[in-house]
Amino acid sequence: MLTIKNLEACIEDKAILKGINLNIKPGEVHAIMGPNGSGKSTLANVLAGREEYQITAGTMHYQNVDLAPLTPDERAHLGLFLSFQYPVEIPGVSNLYLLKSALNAKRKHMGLEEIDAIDFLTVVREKMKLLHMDDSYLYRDVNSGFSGGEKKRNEILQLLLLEPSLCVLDETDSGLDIDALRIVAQGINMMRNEKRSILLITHYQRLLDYIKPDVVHILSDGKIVAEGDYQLATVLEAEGYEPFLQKKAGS
Amino acid sequence: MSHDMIPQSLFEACAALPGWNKQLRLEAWKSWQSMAMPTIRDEAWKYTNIARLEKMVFTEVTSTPSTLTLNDIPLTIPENRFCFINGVFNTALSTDLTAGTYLLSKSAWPHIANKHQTPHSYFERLNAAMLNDGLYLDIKSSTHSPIYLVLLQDKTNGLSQHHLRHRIKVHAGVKSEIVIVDWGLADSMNLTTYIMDIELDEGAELNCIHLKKAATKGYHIRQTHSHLAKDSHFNHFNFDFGAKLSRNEISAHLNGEHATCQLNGLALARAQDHIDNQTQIGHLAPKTNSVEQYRGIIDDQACHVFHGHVLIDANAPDSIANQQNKNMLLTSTGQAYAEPQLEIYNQNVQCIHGATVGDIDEEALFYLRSRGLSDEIARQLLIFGFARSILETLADKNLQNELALWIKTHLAIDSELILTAVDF
Ligand SMILES: Nc1ncnc2c1ncn2[C@@H]1O[C@H](COP(=O)(O)OP(=O)(O)O)[C@@H](O)[C@H]1O
Ligand SMILES: [Mg+2]
Repeated sequence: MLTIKNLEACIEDKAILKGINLNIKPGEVHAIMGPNGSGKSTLANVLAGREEYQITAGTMHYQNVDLAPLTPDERAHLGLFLSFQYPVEIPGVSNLYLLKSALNAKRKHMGLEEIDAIDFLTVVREKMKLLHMDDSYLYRDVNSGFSGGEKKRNEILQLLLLEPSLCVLDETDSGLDIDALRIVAQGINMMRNEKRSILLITHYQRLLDYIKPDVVHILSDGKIVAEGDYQLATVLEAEGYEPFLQKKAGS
Repeated sequence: MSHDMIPQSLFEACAALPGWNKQLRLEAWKSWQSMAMPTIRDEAWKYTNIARLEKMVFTEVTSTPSTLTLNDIPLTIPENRFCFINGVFNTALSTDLTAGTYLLSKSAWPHIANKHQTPHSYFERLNAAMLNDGLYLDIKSSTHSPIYLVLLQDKTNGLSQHHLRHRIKVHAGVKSEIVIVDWGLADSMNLTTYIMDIELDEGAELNCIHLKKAATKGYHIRQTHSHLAKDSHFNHFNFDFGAKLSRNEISAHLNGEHATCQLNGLALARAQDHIDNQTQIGHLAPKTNSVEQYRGIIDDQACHVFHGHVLIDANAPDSIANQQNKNMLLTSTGQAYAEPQLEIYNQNVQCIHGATVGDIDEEALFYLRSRGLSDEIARQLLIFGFARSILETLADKNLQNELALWIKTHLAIDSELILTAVDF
């Protein structure tokens, strides 16, 4: 269960999040939609523990643990996973190495032994097959020279492998063509179960046609200005953000 | 102008050694004495101050017998090797390859001397005057490849100095590989000059891998000059693990059409180390190609200088030159100077260059940590990854792996980090 209360955050003295309230229960899928620059990625990064952002008010709890004092890796061990809007290229570090060390870091935290090299390959290849990724991805450097779509697929591969309990997906649909979108959405849907919470950040309704959210939030200028069920996304698609932004201005 | 660092008596003792050409020595000695030591006012020594050398006095001619063995180097040294200890050839540690094509010491002298009748730079003059030993490799086939040239330096009582010069000739169409291991065991104060002249005949190919771990207080000055005929390829890899002063001057003269060179280097500087890499590539014929990748990882108060000079002659149309220099500073007290210098006299060429100096990439660090890796491991991974990009340009996977271990040890990186491609 993720509980965010009145969260405010800034970067370099610029206020970006201006009082966010959000509750996500186990098994729920929430979508956050909103125009460019409204603070969606900031929220995702603040959740994952990026130090550049300062939290100026409010709280974030996951499974009753206060996230604020935890480092990014401690949050990952707790089960939080952020799929980056712009996955970072890391030349010199092989994808295989990253996947293996990430999995072993998790296992270590759970008190398990390191995974055997052969078992690891078996598991990772099985997940790659689901995402229609070939073996070469393993031996390439992390995201280096990957196309936009390949990077997103690689994020989902990590998600499938690490099996986090809270998945924050920041614009995972952008840069994907229609076939890739279907494959990635299938991967995410497979992860859906009664224990796992998913927060989908997206621009378009497109992804929500494949992954039906329980709740949709509309973020504007660092605040949630509207909430509703899946229908809200449809309204948004038809009418655009304008009516919601006006509503906010009028309120 | 002070030349007290090498006393006259030391030169005379050196000149008295039998077999070497006394006249050439004497001329070199005089020309060295007539030249002032380079200072930071000289363009080529702008960032490297050697003034302290002038205050030292080197007294040892050749050192006392040494008990060093190849086991003192944490690297597998296979057969086909020539070992020099404290600047002098050591028969016991070397493979007997002298028959015919490999000439040593006195018999190599005419071939070596032939190459430096007019020694040019300050240290080249000193090297010609004080030469301890040398090797002439006349490579006519790939039979003995790779050949290892090992230079071991022992701890000595006084300030010691060693001067070596090798000449390597690779005949037409022959492919060969040379691995040079410079290993200074102790923290003794020494001065080493090590010059290598390389000639590649038409269609020849030479991989030259240079691993240098000089004594921590050592002054180690190396020059590698190569001349490439038509269709020949020279690949030079320079892995430098630092010293008080480690200077590498590497030149490639692409004299024949379609000649190509690759100059790659990795400087790992820590503590008070100063590594100075000076490269010079001359495109002197049409359709010549050069690729250069140099990286530095700088820790503590160390310094890395990279100066990359590329000349494209008017007579070298359709040539391609690509130079990249990247530095990673691990502390705020480390220093990196990156200086590309391009001289282009033909418009019909492609020339790309880039130089960067930066810290560890914070975005990459956050990305790795968000995957559950600790700050320490994530940093180590990024540092090693930075080095690995150069390491990977070596074709020999075994050497890659051994070097990976050296690098990890040197940078105090968790040796459990399994990172090279061959591990999988
Ligand atoms: N590192 C940063 N430095 C300065 N401003 C930033 C930084 N990151 C985000 N911002 C600003 O914060 C606002 C919200 O950005 P972001 O969270 O990326 O929005 P969204 O993901 O909704 O498009 C924007 O105005 C953006 O310019
Ligand atoms: Mg965003």
